[in-house]
Amino acid sequence: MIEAFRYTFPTDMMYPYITGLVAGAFIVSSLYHVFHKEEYAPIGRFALLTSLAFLLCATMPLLNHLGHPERAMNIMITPHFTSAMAGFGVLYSFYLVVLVLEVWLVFRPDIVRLAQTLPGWKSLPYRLLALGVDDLRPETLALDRKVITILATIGIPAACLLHGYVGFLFGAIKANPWWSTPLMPIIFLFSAVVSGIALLIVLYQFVAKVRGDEISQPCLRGLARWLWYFQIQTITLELLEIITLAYERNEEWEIIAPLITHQLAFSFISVQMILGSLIPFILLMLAVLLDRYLHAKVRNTLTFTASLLLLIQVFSMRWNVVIGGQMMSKSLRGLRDFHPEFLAKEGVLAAILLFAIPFVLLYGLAKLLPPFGRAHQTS
Amino acid sequence: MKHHRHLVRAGAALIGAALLFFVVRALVMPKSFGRFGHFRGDNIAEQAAIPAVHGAPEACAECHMEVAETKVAGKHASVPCQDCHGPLALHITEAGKEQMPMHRSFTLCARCHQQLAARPAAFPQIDLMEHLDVVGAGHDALTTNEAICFDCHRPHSPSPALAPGTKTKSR
Repeated sequence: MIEAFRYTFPTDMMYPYITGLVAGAFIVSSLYHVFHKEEYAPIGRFALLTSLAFLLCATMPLLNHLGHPERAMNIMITPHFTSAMAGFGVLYSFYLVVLVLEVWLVFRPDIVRLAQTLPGWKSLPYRLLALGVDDLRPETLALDRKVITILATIGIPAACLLHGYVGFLFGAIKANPWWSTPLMPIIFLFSAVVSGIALLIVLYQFVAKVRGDEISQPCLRGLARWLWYFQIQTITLELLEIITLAYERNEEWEIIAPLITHQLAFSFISVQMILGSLIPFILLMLAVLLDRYLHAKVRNTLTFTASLLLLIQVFSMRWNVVIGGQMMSKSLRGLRDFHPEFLAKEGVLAAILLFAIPFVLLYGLAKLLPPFGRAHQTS
Repeated sequence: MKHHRHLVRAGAALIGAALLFFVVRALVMPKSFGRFGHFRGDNIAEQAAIPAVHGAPEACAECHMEVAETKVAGKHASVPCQDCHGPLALHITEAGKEQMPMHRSFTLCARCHQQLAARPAAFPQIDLMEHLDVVGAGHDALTTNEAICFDCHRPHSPSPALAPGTKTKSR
């Protein structure tokens, strides 16, 4: 009845979540393309496509938040480096170029083959992508591999910067004690890698099931180890931040303590810390430490379940940071409530649709450039 | 035969895209951008040309001195007239004096006085539904009487409240 009392909160939290998945997926692809870890060959190409699909959608939640999304390009046309968002635009564009070039080179052998074998108009996109060069001689492919390694090597710091930057956007808000900590970019980066690896484990197992492929156990075993390692780092950093705040007992603790024990009690303690951290920690510990005794199906189930829970953990971490930070009054006197609306412009439905787009895009990209099958041995 | 033909073409495509960006930038960037700083210079003249519609409280006091004195002595001393009344330009026009639009709804009062933990504890704030129960008005009153707050509170000097139903229209 009293419209004026409602506060609208942006679904902007989808933006750090999606950007995190970009960075995480790219780092997994780099395990194969930079460090030449052969066990990750089955998902090296798929991880790249995942990173690209999510990167293309990373800014959509922000555009949905803007009243005038058509003005978004202004920060690219007239960038000012005192603006954190303008800096993000430059980083985003640079990373996009590096990623597109890497995807193009990794898939070039398939592009050339499809351009030559597909009939009529179906070959048109591949002929365009081949840029009129059908050279697949071993020396040329060796040169491609070198360039891919260089691009992926540039891509790692670019991906880290891209997502560290998202953390910086929050960490640099000095008026908000729930955000303002130099740990924020590092926490965002580590949790990005967690979400990226977890997403790839879930997608890889799902796609293998649908395609009827066998799930590569060396690949899954390696991913589970990395996931456990990065999860431990992430949770440690998240807890360190809270413990430091609690121990210092500065004036902001007066408001942060009720924030995490009342307003965010469910999403922080129950979901982020117990369901999303403790349970997957135990599941991954079993998967890693008891690895030699595990049947493939048990390993698949353990890693799949832990990954799903970790995806929820990272999502709730973004929720608690973004929403939690806006629940505090600017004067730190008290807390507001937040009841997400379903049909609002930035409501739950909009968030679900925004999160569905990169998956649809990934499906389309995987149709255009098949990431699985015999071709991956050539890259 | 060279092995990097495709890389050269990709590089050329990238340079082409960069050139296209600068061409588009030159076409769409306003001519006056950067004349005075990192913004569109013409904007200053455009903003200056927008006619002023609001006036300072002193301008209202020129005709409504009695109201201004009541307000200055009361709890709403720091609330500007045009928070509840329309802009001055709608009231005093070139054609003469027009009816001043007024916002009398309880939703306007609630913007400042609805209970909220983020407000200072000493600031007068109510839970609207609870308040209606306390004064015995009933929740239906909100649908039948939008200006229900004025039944007890004088908008220019709202405290202390009067007996329910006194109907304080002007003061």
